[in-house]
Amino acid sequence: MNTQLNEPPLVELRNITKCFPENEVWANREVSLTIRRGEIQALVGENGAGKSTVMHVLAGALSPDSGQILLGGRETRFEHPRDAIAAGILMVHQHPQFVPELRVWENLILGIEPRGTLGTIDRNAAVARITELATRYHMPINPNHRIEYLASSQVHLAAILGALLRDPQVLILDEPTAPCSDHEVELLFGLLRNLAEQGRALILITHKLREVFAIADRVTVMRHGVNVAERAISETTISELSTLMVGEDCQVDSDDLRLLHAYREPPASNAAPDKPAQEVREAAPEGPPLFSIRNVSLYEGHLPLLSDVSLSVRSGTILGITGIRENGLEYLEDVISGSTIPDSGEVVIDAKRITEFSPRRFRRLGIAYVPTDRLIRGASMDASVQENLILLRRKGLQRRGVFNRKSLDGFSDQLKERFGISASLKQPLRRLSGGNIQKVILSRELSIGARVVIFSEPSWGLDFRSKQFVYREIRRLRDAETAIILISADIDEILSLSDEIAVMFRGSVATELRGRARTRERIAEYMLGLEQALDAATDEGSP
Amino acid sequence: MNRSSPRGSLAGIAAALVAAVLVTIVLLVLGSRTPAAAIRSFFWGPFSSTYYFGNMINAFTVLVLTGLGAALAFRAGVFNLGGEGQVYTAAIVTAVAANAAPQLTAAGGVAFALGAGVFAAAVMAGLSGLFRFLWDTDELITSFLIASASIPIIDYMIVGPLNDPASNLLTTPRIPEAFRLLRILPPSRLHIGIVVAVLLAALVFFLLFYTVRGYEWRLTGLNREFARYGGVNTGMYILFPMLISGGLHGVAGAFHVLGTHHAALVGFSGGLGWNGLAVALIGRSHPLGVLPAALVFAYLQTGSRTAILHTEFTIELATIIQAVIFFVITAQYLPQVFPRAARKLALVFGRPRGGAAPAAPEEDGS
Repeated sequence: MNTQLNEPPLVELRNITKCFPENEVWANREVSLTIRRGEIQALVGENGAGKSTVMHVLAGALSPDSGQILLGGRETRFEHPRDAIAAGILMVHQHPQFVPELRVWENLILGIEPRGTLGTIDRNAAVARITELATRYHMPINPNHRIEYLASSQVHLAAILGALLRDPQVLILDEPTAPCSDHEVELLFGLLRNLAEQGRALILITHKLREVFAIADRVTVMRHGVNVAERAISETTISELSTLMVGEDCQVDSDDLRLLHAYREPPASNAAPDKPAQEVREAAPEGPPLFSIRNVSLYEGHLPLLSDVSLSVRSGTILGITGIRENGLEYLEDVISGSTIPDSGEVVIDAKRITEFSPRRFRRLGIAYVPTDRLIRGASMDASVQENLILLRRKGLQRRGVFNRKSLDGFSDQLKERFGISASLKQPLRRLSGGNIQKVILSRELSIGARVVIFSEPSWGLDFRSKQFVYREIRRLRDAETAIILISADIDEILSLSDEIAVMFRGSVATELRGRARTRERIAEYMLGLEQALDAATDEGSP
Repeated sequence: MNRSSPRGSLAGIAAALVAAVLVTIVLLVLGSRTPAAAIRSFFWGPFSSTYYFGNMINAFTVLVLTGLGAALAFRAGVFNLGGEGQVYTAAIVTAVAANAAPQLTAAGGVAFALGAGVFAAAVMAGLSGLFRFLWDTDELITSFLIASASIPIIDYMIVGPLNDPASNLLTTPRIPEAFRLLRILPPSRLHIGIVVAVLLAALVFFLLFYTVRGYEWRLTGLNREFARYGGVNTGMYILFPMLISGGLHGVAGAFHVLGTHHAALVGFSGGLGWNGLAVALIGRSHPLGVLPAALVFAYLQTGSRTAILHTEFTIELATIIQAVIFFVITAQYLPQVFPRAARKLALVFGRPRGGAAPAAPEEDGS
């Protein structure tokens, strides 16, 4: 898309510098970016590389310490996000803020309410406008639904829809695919291409290089607040970008690289045999399962959320459970972690029935749990790092009910060092980066010497290094004879870590795959409940 | 992107106090015929005599106790809005107990009467905790309702069956001499209960921040869901915070009878429970923060008393000033400390379950 070489670029950022004195770091140093019509530009870098900062400057939410913003060649200043919006620049945040109790249309029209006679809000016009846009871009959003009932991927789509209502020339998307399943990612990418063809400029902030290659025309790499490289997508490779992102000093394990940024190759060439040998254990280890669920069903009213699910995991194996969101993964997570008691069926550890046990008793039996919901279920954002770390070991760090300061600090320092948590113990968790928060959760859960560890979406929103760390820990645990359940919607993650794979579709196990039967395509077919997959499952049971 | 702490910033608290003082001055100027004298009396009155100074410190004692009670509940994420009724209940039970056992020794009588009052208040608040534990009723509502219902009943008891026939006042008979707590600064009403109040603050501080139970208590308050997954018996941290919060309010009520007035007076508890909430808020629910907060509150309270007595300042105006102070201080972070209540109020017709998007962890330091 280099047809408008002579035209001035839509927006240009020149030498943007921004410092946050309280963090004593340069969030941005002399960052320059050019944004052209009809182009999808990706902005990649690790957490803390300054991607969000520079985009907040562009969207008018932050004012730079120095540097210029040029709009169609003319210098301009944004004092407030509304100045940027007036100039056609909109940003969709990673965690869109809506009023959950209100309906989609009520949230989306805030500030641009269509007026009826008497100055009232013209509800019909608003709904019609949103419906029209949603239909045009094939977005499955009903404007009359309440935000609180939407899945997180739908909330994100709604936020994008809200941006489109304001007819942006430049649309900035911060990690838009994080909550999406593969299918939703395809939908989103279709939308982005469509928007680019209309001549709009799109900027995609992301961690996932695979997506960069799937959608972007150009990519800018940031590291430590500096714009380190800019490439046309046809002129770069995954390994070049990875090296640029993490710097020369960081060794990149080639297996991990495959896993982290696995480029979706054409289906024909992606047969199973080229998987790294260490990943596949053809012969499943012998012995009885350590932890299992049997014939579990869960209903909401008459609506089945889970129907007749049976799964089990042995010591020293990783059971991967995957599926598209809304197909029961979250309910399964609740049942196996002890937070929901199923309507029928049982949860068993060591041949002992623990179905009705509380999460507290699950923990006592050595079942550790790294939940999807890190902010509420997994950690306390307002408590300090130390208070988060000691939760499961609090009874061992006291004498007659009073904490022993020395053992408290010794224990926390030990975890901090072992897991490379870069934060002070007294800091509230809220101040930490996503990667560090996940490390805190991980180190706490692994501090009890668990026999069974449940990981749910352990790498969501993490950067390269943090993901690599999490994957290494999972493998290390497996090698230490721990039974591991990995719930993830990320097929690559599931494929490369799991010994056995269960695919969920509409609340049931569509199939269980092991050994060479596991390929990306088969999993995808079962996830989507494609005709042949369903037939296969019903005709012959699990292959 | 930065979310403020649920306990409010120090700057915000200071701003609220300054705003309260400014509003007070404006009201004094507008509402008094001798504004200069009223202002002087309001601000200097508490230090003008031993009597006023002692009474200010005595008001401080009560506020420390109720403030601690409210703060402890906040720390566990539960809400005791029944302080008024609990203080009042404790007072009448203490008075009755003291008069029922005049034969006891001084120490025995004080222990018995104090114990009875504290027990009554703790049970009263504990009921709300129990109800929530058993049936998931909202302790914020039930504690308020139970306490509100108790107040007119106690009013009736003091005016009717328990009235002191020897007195023209609306009060119970005075308790035996032997059970009265030692006065410190006569002629003021300050008594040795202050030592107990300050020691209790220190004890609560220690328990909350240095013990395993205190850790569980605070963690449950910060994130009940998380505490539950961590194996904390969160049901216990509904029941016990209510019991202990009620108990502390009970100490305040019992001290009123044993130390301050030596009898239960009709309506004496007016405002004590609410002021305890305000003190807990100013003190950021920290047991040591409650001490200065109670002192400031006691000062403003005594100031308005002296202004009434020494100038043409009216009691209504004093009440308005108190209300303004309470309002300014609580309004500032009402939505933060009571997100649940704030949501309910904001969505009268909404459904009770709130599904707010959780705060995002900060990224890129922006």
